[in-house]
Amino acid sequence: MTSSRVTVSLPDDVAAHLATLPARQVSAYVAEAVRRRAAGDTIRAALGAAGHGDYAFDLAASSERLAGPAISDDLVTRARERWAAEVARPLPTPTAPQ
Amino acid sequence: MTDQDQPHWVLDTGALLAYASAGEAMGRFLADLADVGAVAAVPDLCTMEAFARLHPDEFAVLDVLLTHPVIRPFPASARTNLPDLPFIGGMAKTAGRLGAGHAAFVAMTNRAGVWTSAPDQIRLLLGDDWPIVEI
Repeated sequence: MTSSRVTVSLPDDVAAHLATLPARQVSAYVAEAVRRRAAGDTIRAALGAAGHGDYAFDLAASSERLAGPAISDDLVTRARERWAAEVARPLPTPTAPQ
Repeated sequence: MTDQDQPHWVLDTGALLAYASAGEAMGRFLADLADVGAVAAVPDLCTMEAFARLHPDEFAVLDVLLTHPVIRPFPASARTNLPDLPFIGGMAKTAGRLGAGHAAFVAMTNRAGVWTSAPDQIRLLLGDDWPIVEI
């Protein structure tokens, strides 16, 4: 992947945080943050095209809403055992995403 | 796979249709996923069912979502997933719908909840206590 050198001005607190990182990791750190915001921008563009309204960016609220569902070991085991019995063969290992 | 790449939720057919019809809860959920860098699983059979229920004029809306980084497509027929097919088929027979079978299978094997418009079908397959968001 090609890269470009960009000069930006940052608030002092943000710059101070970046200064705590190993120098070779700063670019990757910034790139990850920008990619994440870009994902938010592009999904909002997609949502807008589908007729949705605007959804404000609020990372803390998003994290709270997305707290993973509680699925106990027992619940998973019961489901897996049931379907292994119904299909009369052992379950394969989890499917890999594309 | 990092935890960020691991889907904690599966989008059943009804969830995809809710996105396409501007359902607010679905839109908020997708925006949340993107903002925190998380992903949702979309089983291929649910995608096919969603396309089957949309007018061709609406296909492009779904195309855009399916190629976005918040979505992790789960194929039903990739050669590496052939052992999954009897389970997806068995679940589909019980639920009466192919998409329900694939959604439930992906949810079970990834320990994920399900966004669906057919909660009774998913509960029939995974039990009453499985996490479900009805839309």
